[in-house]
Amino acid sequence: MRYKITHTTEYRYQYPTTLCYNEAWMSPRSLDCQQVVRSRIKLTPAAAVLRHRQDFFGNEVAFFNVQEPHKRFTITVESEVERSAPANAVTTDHPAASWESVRDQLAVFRPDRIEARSFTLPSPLIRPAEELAAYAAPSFPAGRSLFESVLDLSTRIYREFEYDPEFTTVTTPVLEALSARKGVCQDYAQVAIGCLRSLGLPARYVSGYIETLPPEGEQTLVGAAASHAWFSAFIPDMGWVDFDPTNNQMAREQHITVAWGRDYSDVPPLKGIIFNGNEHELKVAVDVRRMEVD
Amino acid sequence: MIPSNSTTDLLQGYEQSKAAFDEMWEGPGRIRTHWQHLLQQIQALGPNEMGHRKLELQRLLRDHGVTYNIYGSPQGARQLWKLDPIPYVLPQSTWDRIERGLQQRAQLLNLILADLYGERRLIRSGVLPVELIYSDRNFLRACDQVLAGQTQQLLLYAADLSRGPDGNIWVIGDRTQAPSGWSYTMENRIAMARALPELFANNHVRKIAPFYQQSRNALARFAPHDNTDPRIVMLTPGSMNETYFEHAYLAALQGFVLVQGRDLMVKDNFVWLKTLGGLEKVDIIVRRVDDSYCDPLALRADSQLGVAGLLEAARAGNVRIANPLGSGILENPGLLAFMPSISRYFLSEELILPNLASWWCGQPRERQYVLEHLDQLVIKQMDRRAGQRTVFGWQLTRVQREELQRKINAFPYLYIAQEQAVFSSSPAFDQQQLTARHTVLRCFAFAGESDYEVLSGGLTRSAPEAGNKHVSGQSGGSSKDTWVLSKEPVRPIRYQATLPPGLTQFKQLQDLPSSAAENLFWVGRYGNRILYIARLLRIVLKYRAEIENFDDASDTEIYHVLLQALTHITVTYPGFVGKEGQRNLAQPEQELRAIMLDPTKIGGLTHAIRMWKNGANAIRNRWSTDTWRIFDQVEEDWEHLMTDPSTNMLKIRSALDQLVYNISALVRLTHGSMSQEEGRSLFGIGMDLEYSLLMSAMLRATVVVKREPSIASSILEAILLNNHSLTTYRHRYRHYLQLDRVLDLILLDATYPQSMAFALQRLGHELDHLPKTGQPGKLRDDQKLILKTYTDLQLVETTSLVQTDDESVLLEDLDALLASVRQDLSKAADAITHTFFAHTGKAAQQALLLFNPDL
Repeated sequence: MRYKITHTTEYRYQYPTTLCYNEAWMSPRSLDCQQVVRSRIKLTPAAAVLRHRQDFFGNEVAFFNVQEPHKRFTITVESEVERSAPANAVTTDHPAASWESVRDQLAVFRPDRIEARSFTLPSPLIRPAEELAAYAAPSFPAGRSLFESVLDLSTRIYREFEYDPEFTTVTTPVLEALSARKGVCQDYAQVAIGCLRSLGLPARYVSGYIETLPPEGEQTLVGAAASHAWFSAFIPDMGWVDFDPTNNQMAREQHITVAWGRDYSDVPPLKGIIFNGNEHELKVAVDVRRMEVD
Repeated sequence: MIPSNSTTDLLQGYEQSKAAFDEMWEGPGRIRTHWQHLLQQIQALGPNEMGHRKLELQRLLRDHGVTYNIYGSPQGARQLWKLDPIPYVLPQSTWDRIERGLQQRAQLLNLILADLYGERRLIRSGVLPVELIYSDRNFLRACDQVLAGQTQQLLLYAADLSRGPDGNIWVIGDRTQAPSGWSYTMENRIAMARALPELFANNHVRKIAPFYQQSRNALARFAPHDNTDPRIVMLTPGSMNETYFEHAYLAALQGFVLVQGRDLMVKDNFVWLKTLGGLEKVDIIVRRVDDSYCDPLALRADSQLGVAGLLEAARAGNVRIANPLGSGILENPGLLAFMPSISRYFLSEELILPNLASWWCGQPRERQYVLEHLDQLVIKQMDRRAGQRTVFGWQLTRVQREELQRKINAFPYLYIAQEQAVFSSSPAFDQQQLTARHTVLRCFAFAGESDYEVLSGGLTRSAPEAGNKHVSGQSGGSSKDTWVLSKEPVRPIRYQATLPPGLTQFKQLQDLPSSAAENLFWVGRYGNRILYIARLLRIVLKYRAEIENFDDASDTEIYHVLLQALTHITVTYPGFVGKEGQRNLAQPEQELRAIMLDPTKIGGLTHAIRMWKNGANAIRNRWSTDTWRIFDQVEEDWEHLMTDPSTNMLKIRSALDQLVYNISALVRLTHGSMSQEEGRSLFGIGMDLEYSLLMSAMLRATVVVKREPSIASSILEAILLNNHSLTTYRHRYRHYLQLDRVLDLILLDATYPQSMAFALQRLGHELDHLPKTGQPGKLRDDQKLILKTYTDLQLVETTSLVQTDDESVLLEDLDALLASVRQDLSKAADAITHTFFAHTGKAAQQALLLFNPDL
């Protein structure tokens, strides 16, 4: 499926600001199941400095610095992406290895497992905790395969949590979202990640988009009109498998991956420092549309 | 040759106090060879003389303002640096090994740093476990590949060393973010060379001074874009930092501009210094700010100490940072456990200097050992802030120990255990004797052209008392000069007690950071404010004493006028003014005391003294040693006066005399010693502006109201006295006191140095010398305002000022003139602030993007 994604962020300030510095994780990554046809960033006013790089996790990051006085700053990223469902989301052939055996295998050094191992560690927003392990426990009975366990966990979060944007912010601790059983996609994902890591299993945070306007008759997914987030679990012989607990499904062709990291703090869509800081208003719009391809 | 009784005196009880290994004492009656000559020299001086010399050392350090800030100290932050008169001595053979060992270690750490933020071969090949590095909060992923391809990354290095019972030297810790101690090492040597020159004779003590100049030159080689004349700044967190003295001192010694984060900005992906004249490009930053605080965009968003965009400028190769951001990872305590294998991996060498035995609990065998020996080990937790993360196993209760065991089993990779460091002892002079103290040595190195260069000496610290094993700056111990004895004679060099004059100067006014300029301006303003208030208080207290002795109605009236003037000048309304001031006038004691001694009374004398000292401290490196001594003295005297319960009016009057004397001396010294480039003009501008403001307030508060002649005359006398002009007046006019003449002298006569017209004229010249920021050929607002005020004074007719119709109680023209002068001067002060000191403001964090706010 070919998508055109337009992600617009606008800041309006009460008084002119003369300087701002930003980093943005808004350009989709290229993956086996996802080709980035084009992605460009448009800034108004124009930035004096705009630099692109790959971060520690291989994500595309843009750094920009506006140096002229402005009362309004618009950041628009337009991307065209060819996306298909990942092979491991389509297959019905799931490895039978129990979650405990995966956990124990990972403890043994293997050069190709270093990355997976690193995602079992605590991160700035997600620390392993007994509460998280306890919440996960019903999904992880002894001997169950890792895939089935994670799928069950994702479904339970979907069922047991209430989607409530009023309740949380980007800095709400995972344990708070867990005890209230409330939050947005980011909290759903981070709770799941915390659960897996508390059991010694690798999980990472994925930031991206989902299709805004599906063709008639198809389901409109929650998380549209803004950035979306889900999690990915490492399952030997399958690789990294993406689960979207907010929509109770695996990430398929309607999910467009932008970036991944240990948690939200590694891949916020946008962060910035402004000078002569004053009151500001923020507007964000995300539009994801199917494109007709000949 | 040496009287035996002095030997016994000095060394009595030494053996009981020593550790398993002592640096001097080899056995009963046996002194190690390299110590023998020095010990004889100490004995020749004798205990009494050594005692005197110890006091002399303390005096020198105090006079040089060598301080150390102790966090959470009840006496306020600043503590005097302590130095023991007995050096820590190492023979050349031992030193050679240390030097080679530290060079090897620095090379290794440099390779590790480049690898961890580059290819990560150590992790991929299994030499270093991924958990050890990736769960350390000092591993900054944002710094990945910043210096990709640069072989020399670690530019500065320090290590703490101790000596074990077998005499072997051990590395007990590495310092790689912003290693401190360089300045104290130099100050210790300077003080020792001054106070105990005899001890250096024939001991072949290696020089340390060249290290400092060499390290500056070596750093300069790393300037980006092959700039051969780089601008180097030292980034400090500010004057509240533990080792702020060191930052100021090193900046002055090495010719770096001392800056805080707000003095710098990133523009066009280069780093710039905000100076009086505009933006100046910065090539190299020597930082004393911790990694994660250096860039609020890429690292900690809540940091006010850093520079937004700094990391990206470094990534673009437009600025070099010593040490690079992210180097804190090398201080990971678990790394010590892997150093031997890393050394084999990178260099195919064994470590020359062993390091403290360490066990990372992420490995099963090691974990088992740690769990079984918990009560003998020091346990450190990663992912915790430094200071919070050290637990001494032997101090734990059984319950605490079990709790820790449980935590280690749950997340083993977060825990590292180390054996307790053991220290050798070294002689210290205490209570007329030599006693043994545990000591630890910090060594310093920089990246030289072909290898790391190690300072031949270092900073030795010793425990506060014999047997105490706690050795750190924060625990109240003492420091020692560190001597490396050469086999060959060392050509003596003279250490300068103060900085060589050339080093504190700047190439041009362009290099004066705006914030330093602002501080100079305010130190000038507060200096004059203190002088003016203190002088007025002296006169007020004189009247107070007279009234106490003889209750005279006219004296009381004068006293009241002066008290009201005091309120106006200090802007401490209502004070003695207006209806609300009536009660205070009737009972002036409490308000008067508050104006003098209450630090919370904004505008009062104590408040002004504190603001003045804070301003001076923020630009510590700009003052000569002699000037700084006065700053310290004034503060010390005044704090003593405030806290001494026996403080009475008599003591206050004498303290005011001392205050006036000290500040006058300081002003003279500053004008004499500070060059134009260093911002003497800013200091002068502050002083002249404040002087004119105060004088207009004083005159308005006293002479615009008509009074009975005898009282008016006494008030004029007080004004002249306060203005240092009574003698001149009497000499010039040989006449009783008359308002028009007084005004002629202290307000309008532009040839008389104590007059306002004179101050304004000088102020105008000083403003002309500031870098132009307005349109060419045009005056700036501040220049216009001062010119206007000066011209107003020049054009006014004295006779019209003192003329009035008989009905009015007010000299209206004079009142209007003084009011307009005051208003214009205030506007000029605002214009100066706006034009020269306006920073880009406080950074605010943009809101991070929220998810789907409308769902």
